[in-house]
Amino acid sequence: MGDSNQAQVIPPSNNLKLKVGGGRFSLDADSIARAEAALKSLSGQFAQWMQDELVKLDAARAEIRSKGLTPETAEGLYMRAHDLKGLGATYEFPLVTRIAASLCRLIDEPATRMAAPLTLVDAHIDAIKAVVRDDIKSEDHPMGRAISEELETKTRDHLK
Amino acid sequence: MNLVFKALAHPVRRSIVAMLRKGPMGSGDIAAAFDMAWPTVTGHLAALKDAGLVDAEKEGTSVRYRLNISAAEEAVSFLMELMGAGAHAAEPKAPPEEKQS
Repeated sequence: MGDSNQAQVIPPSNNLKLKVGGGRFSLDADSIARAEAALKSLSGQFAQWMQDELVKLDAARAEIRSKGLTPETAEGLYMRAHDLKGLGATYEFPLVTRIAASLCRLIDEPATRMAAPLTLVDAHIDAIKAVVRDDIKSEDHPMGRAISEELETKTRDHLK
Repeated sequence: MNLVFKALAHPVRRSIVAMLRKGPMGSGDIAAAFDMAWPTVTGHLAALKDAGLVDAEKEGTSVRYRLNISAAEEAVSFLMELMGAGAHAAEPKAPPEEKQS
């Protein structure tokens, strides 16, 4: 009976340590604080960096228009779409990530990407540019969401 | 720091960094961990190399990548992971930890 009255000590889990990892890459508070400050200062450049990505996307489209949809030009466009898929959310444009993900699906498979309708490719690129131009940063933006869903539907229909 | 941030801004590149924490890996093994075409993975590795976050050395016909990351850069990567920056865009076939075992 005496045992049931004893306090049970439950050590708190150290998720932070798990995430950071020990040994070679253990991080101290100072490193974290400096990184936080760096990220905060860099976030002011997200808009410009997103523009830089759009320039690359446009260049990939221009290559397709001038040379046609070839394995090389398609791969170039896929690379740009894949980058935007990853960078969009980081640069505070989650809808760019969503639309770029749809574009990636459309031209994902080298075997089928050559049959991708260029009008649908163009629609994705124009939508991404519109989202950035109109500074749509919320995933719940009605127009942004409607465009994303429509592009996803068209892509799904094409890939059926 | 801009180059480092841009390199780590993509969740796939942070996944690669996480994989390399356990030790150097060949490009083929890294590529095998993702549902991505070879050129896409190569592009990500090039971005990490350009930012000085990884070193590449030829090993026979393959290229071996080794992490070359400072504590400050590691902290940036860690914070971005916590923020979940672009996390749902990452597409490793399995968590890097599992692939390594």
